[in-house]
Parts: sequence; C-alpha cells; structure tokens
Amino acid sequence: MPLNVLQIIINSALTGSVYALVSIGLTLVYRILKFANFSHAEMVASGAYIGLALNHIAGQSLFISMAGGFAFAGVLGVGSELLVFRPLRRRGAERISLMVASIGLGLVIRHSIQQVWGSRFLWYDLDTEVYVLKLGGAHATLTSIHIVMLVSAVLLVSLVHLFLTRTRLGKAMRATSDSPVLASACGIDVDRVLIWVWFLGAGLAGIGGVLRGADTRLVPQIGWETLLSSFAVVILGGIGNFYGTILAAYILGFAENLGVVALQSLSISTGYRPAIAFIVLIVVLLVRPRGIMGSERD
Amino acid sequence: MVALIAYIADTMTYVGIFGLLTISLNLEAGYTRLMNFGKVAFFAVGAYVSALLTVSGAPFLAGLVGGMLVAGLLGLLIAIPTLKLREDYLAITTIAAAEIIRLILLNENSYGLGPMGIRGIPKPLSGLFGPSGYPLVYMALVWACLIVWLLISQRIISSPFGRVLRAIREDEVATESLGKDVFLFKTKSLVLGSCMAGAAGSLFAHYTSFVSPDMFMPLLTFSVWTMLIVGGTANNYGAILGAFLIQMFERSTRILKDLVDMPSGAQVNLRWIVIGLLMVIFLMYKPHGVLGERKGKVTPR
Repeated sequence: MPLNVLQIIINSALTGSVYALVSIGLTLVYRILKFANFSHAEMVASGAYIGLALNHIAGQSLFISMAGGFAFAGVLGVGSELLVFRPLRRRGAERISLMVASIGLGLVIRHSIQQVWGSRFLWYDLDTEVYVLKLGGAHATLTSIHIVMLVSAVLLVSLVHLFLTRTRLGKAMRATSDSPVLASACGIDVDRVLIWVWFLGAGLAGIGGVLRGADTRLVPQIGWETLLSSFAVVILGGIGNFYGTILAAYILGFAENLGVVALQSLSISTGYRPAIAFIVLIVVLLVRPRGIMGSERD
Repeated sequence: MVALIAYIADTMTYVGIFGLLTISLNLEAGYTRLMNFGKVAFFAVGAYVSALLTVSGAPFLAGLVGGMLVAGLLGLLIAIPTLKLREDYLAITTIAAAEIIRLILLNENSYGLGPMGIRGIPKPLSGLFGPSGYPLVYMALVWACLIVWLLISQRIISSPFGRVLRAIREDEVATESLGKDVFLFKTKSLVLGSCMAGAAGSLFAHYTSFVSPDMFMPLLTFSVWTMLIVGGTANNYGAILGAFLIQMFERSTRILKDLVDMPSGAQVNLRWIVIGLLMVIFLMYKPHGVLGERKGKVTPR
C-alpha cells in the first residue's frame, strides 16, 4: 500500500482540530485549579448528545448542534464548578480530592447520558458530500463535515486567541491562570473569572464532541475515548499554555494518524490506536515533563 | 437453604477479593498518596497470568505467585516514568496503562488471549470437596489470603517503612530533606500494592474460572476507589468495610431489578450514578470515610 501523505495530513488536521477544542478547557482548569479534571470527558459527551438531539429536532444544520452543544456543556461546566468543585475547595479539599471527585462526577454524567440515550451507537442525520482533493499526483477524500471541522477549529481557536489577548475578561483569565493570588490582589474577581473559564472550556469541549460525533458515531464513552489523548495533548503542550496546547493537539493528531498507518503496515491491529497517545505521554513525561513550550510554573 | 448459603458464600468471596483490592489501593493512595487510577490493570494482569499458567498445567499456587509477580513488575514499569513527577501524572498514566493492558488482552490472538477470553481455569481444591461445599471452601481460601495480606499490610504500616510512607503523604519535600529516598519508597509502595492487586486478580480468575477483557473495564477501578472512600482512607478495616458496603449495594441493585419493573440497563446506570454521587458526597461531607485513620500513639520521650 503506497503511503498517502496528503490523506494522512488531512486526517491529522481533523483529529488535531477536535483535540485542540477539547484540550483548551482541560488545560486552563488544570493550570488554575491545579487538578486533572477527569469529568471534562463528559463535557465532550454531553455536547455531542445535546447536539444529536438538536440535529434530530431541528435537522441538517450542524451549526445549531454546535451552538447547543457549546451552551449546554458550558452550563454543565459552570454547574460542576458551583455544585462540586467550589464547595470542595471551600471545605479545604486537596487537589487530589478534586481529581477523585471529578471521576465521581464523570460517572454521574456519563451514566445519566447512557440512561437517556442508551449505550448503542447513534448517528447524526446529515447530508454529507464527499470531495476528492487532488494535489499533484496525490488523491485525498474529505467530506463536508470535515470542512466544517477544520474551519470551525481555526475560527474558534482564533476567537479564543483574540478573546484572551484583547478583552478585559480574557486578560483577567490569563492573569488568573498565571497566579490566582496576584490576580486577586490586582482586584480581579477570581471566582467570577473562574465561572467564565469553566463555561468557555466546557463549551469548547462540547463543540469538540459535536464535531467528533458528527464525523464518527455516538456512544456514551465518546468523551472518555478522547480523554487520554487530551491529557497527552495538555502535558505535551505544557499545562496552561494555550498556544502550546493547540500545537500539541495537531502534533498528537499527526502522531496518531501516522501511527495507524504504521500499525497497518506492520499488520498489527489498529485497535491499538489509543496506545499511541499513551506512548507519546510516557515519552513526554520521561524527556520533557514540562511540555514542548513549557508551563511557566509548577 | 443450600442456595442461601451458596449466595452468602459467593457474596463474601467477592467481598474478600474486593477487600484485598481495596487494601492494596489503601497502601498506595491512603498511606502514600499514590493516585492509582488503573487498579484494574494490576487486577487483570494477576487474573490473566494466573489463568494462563494454570490452564497450561501449573498448580494454583504457582499461578497465584506468578500473577502477583507480573503485576508487581507492571507496577515497577509504571513507577519509573511517573513517580518522580507530580502525583496527578501517576493518575493519568495508570488510567492509560489500564486501557492499554485491556487493548492487549483484547487484540492479541496468541497465547489464548483475545475477545473470547480464557475458559476452563481450574478451581483449586475442587477435587477434594463436593460442588455443594465448594463455595464455602473457596470463600475460606479467599479470606485466608485477605487476612494474610491484611497482617502483612498492618505490619508494614506500623513499621519504620510505613512511617516514611505516611511522611511522604503528608509532606514529600520535608521527607526528602530528612534524607529519605522518596522515589524509592514510593516505588516500593506501588510495587507492593500491585502485587496485592495481582493476588486479588488470581483469586478472582480461579473463582469465576473464566476471564475476558470486558471484565476489566476502567469502571472497576472506580468501584474500588468508592470502597476506599466510603470505608475510610488510611484504615485497612475501613477498606474492608467499604468493600462490604459497596458490594452489598451492587447486589441490592441487582435484586431490585427482580422486584421492580425496570428497563434493561437502568439498574446498571442507576448503580453507577449512585456510586459517582457517593464519591462526591463522601469527599465533601465525610472525607475520611466511615472509619477514618486512627491517629497513632505518640510516645513521649
């Protein structure tokens, strides 16, 4: 089988786009509150399923699903902060307790989804067109959903960049992520900023879920499937480093797609695909635990 | 009557196996602050190694020891890249390792692995006792193992070694500055805990006499975590109590299905929603569980 470089690059960009959207919230919360939030996976899943419900009601337009997934997952993220993580912190819980609690919260959300929608595969109802991209001698296929994925990832990441650098709230978020104590001393209402961090982070993960769900299929574990890769992205990019995370998302996307081709050519089961993120994770931990672009503290 | 005794024996066998798993997690998480989110991997490795060894003719004891050793080795392999780093990296790595182990069990077709699992794992001592008495015999075997490990674990915790583990839990930097090799102590704790989980896996495999990859889902790890949190962290009796309570709860949801008309799958979802809520509620309102750590006596000089 000849190596279709063009197709690998396109697939990498698609995988990376989902990882980028999912990882932004994970890395921001990880940085500010200093705990690995395992319930983030369920923001992806809830976005995907709410998007599915809207798709089946309102039909065709993926944008309605994305907007709905963003809003619902965002509110769920804020809810988890207000109902679980903030009360726990107020009671002096350590960050490892927050991490364990995030597992418990994740179980509640995932099995609620499973109760409502069942555990079978479900699909978005979309008319997809298939395009063939020809570049030189290379052929690659991509669907209209893929184009939406690529465009919305670029658009959303740019918007988040502008938000973080140009707006008051965005600057307050960066200050809080650098040092909550100093930000608070500068008169920033850290609690209020945190609400927006949760809303934005979970909401983007929800959009990631809609895109992944529309491109593949839905199962209640859809978020859990991306979680390991997202942690690999977050650590590779440097915890709390927005630009590092985006870069790492596409690097991991490339590594996974290249890895799948490598597995096929070695006639090893492609069922091992999730192991690629694991290998990347271990290598990063051994060689450069602060990530490619570094996390400024800790 | 016989059926009731068999049911109680079956329940207590599971309580024993999960009690052993919870004690092993307690050594790691409760006493050393090692956040092992991949407990199921060590359990699975113990089960599979023991199954493979005994199916190919080795005696039960060889399977048990083999399962323990290989699980311990896996603990060592995971310790090396993660234990020098922050505690949450261990959580992420172990959860990932557990998935990889399951993928290997699922996707490898040699050595009898694969989605079909392994059947016909011999039941130790089954030749000596009739089928009616066997559940009680196996329950006794499991509890004997549990008590041996409980004694070992209690001994470790009250030894100078155990004091260092607790010191690491409270303040790693201070322990390091007292000249203790924190990495080495953490590694020993993880390897020991992994061996115990391997033993539990072996006991599980020989009880069910069948293992397959879907018996070792990540959820099992969090079941054990809930047992520890509910029963009481840093207290081995609490850990066993937690295993008992959660096992009772899981069984009651199964009985509930027979009494109340529920759509299929609902009782499973309900069970996990309650388990998730229990984790959060206990962490919030009773972070040390039903039985918390007993503060040691301070001997005045």
